[in-house]
Amino acid sequence: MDNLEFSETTITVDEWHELARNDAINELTASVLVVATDSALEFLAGPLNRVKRIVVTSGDFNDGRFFSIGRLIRLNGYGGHLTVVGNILPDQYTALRFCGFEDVLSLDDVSATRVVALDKALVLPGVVEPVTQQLEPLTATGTSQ
Amino acid sequence: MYNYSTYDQQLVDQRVFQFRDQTRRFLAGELSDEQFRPLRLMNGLYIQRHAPMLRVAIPYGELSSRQLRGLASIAETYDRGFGHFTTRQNIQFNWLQLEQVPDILEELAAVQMHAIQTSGSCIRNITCDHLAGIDATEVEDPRPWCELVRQWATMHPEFLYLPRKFKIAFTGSSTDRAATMAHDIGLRLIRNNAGETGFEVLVGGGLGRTPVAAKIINAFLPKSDLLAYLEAILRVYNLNGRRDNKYKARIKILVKAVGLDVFRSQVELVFNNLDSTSLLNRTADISTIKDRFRSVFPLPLNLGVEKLEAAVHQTYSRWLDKNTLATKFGNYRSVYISLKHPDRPPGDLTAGEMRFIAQLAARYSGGLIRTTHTQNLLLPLVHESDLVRVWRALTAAKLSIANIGTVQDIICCPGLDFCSLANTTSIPIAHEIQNRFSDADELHALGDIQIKISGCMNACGHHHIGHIGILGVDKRGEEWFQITLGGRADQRLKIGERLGPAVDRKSIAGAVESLIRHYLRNRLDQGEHFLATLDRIGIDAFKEVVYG
Repeated sequence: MDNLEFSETTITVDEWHELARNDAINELTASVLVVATDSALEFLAGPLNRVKRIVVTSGDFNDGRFFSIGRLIRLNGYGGHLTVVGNILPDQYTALRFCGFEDVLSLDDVSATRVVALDKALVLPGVVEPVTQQLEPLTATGTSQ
Repeated sequence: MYNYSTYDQQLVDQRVFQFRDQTRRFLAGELSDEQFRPLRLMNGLYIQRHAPMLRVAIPYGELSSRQLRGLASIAETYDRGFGHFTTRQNIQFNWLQLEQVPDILEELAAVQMHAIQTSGSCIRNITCDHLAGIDATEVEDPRPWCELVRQWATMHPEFLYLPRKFKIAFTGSSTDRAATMAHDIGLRLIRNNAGETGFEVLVGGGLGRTPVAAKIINAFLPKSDLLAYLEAILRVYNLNGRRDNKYKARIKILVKAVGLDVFRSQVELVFNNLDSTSLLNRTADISTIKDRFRSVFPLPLNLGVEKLEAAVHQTYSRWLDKNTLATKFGNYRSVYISLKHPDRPPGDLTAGEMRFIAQLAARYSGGLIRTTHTQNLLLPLVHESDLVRVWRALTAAKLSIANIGTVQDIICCPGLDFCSLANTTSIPIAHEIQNRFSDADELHALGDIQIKISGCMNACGHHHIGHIGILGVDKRGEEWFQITLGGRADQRLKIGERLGPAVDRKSIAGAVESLIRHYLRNRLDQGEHFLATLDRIGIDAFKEVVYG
């Protein structure tokens, strides 16, 4: 995930924590926070809404931590754009949406990047509508619809 | 038993549709082996030694006659005419074609069954005491709570790609027949000093390569907090469980690594931050779920009490003693159907036998059957005036062998006969031991001795917690067997102690027989249990018997 490029300025979780340690989070200029699935999660208690987008990165579709991290980001009140990046399977889109993600930057074998908006992905063949009754999809405000 | 709501039915129907598409994409080369693997496992489909194996869920071990007939049809149409009941109350079919699995799932859905989350790194089928709701000593019937947790865990979007498999077991009784301490989470309904019922929550149990007894993480959890507390445990595990080594990925390793107290504080931190008004608080749903449980009371047929001929009286009495059990409903007894016989792989049942038992249950036990942790079946409630007729019918079908709880009632994995992970065979070992104790008088006099056999260290046969455990190991291409003594699976779960060096294939059944005969010679009287004798005379006395 090191070669990810965004048009906006990014900050990693380590850099975020460094700013927080120096009591300098108010000086934050980046608009995208990049969260690897093995990141320390102290950033969740910070002012997440200062960034427009949070990107959770995972190389492996089996790394189920991104589901919990997405959910925690929303449950901590994040209202911005939440994206997951990795070799994600279409079969995971529904669960991702329910965990608060809005889109997937899917990296396939030829390194082409494909953006899938999860609310539209649900109509793809073979991907069924919500298969759970205990959770409504989390919205950008972090609350149930 | 629980009857599906419209929503439940829609969910399993959608899952069939989804798996049909996943199978099509795999066969068309659109999904790689690596990509298809978690998707098929999440639907109970393994690639085994001979063919794909499908594990079908029997939530908390409850089956209807209609469902058992449905399983019989699948066994005949798609398999070789039989199925295998497992220690987690499920059934497995071992000889399937991948292309046919979506059709099988469709047939299952038609009888309110599925294979969802019977394998893979997700929350597996919920298991339960097979005497739930009929045991006079239980605090509360745990089955509605099992169903609530089943609904919560099914396709839970956050917990479908856990570090490793995750097993939950329930009991409402102080006598633990569900091996709750051998599970990732064990839930025991208890009553506190104020007279309220709640859950004692255990965490971090499991067998496999690293056997660990679960520890109490919460001594009394109010019932209304159940789902929120489970959500907190699962979230801590999902985020912190190891993903770099599958042999270190179970929650038991995480709990051990950080310590129970630290793990508990992590769970409570998450739990305390959960929204108490969220959909996790579904206590109110329990009454809805209870309403969907069909009454289990079969009416007696009032055909009159049958007279027994003197010649069969002793055989019947022995069956009554070993294979039936009093319930909290005075005139009703539970009837075990033993699937343990020298002519039968432990836990196996043919399609014809499934249909016969379905019919028997429809006639005498309200159309209900249960599967047990010990790989047997149970007719939960049979009126005492029908017992002789049930016994005669079972005898005619060669299903009345009176060996429940005896040395013949062996828990056994499929071993090398089916499993691609196994080091050794296990079914033939079980048969050899059963044949050495085939005399009914002797079997009866021996009392309850649990023998458990695993064909490899993954421990599907639970050898660690058998009174006598047998583990198959490979030594330079030859089958050898390690013996452990003193394990137990109940509320005082204990990992057995290794007796000594492994013994070879031709010696293992004889070694087990010697151990049992040594117990017989040394027990104080018929009332002294094998474990009590072992405690009293020590394991060294048993070592001498095997190793001289």
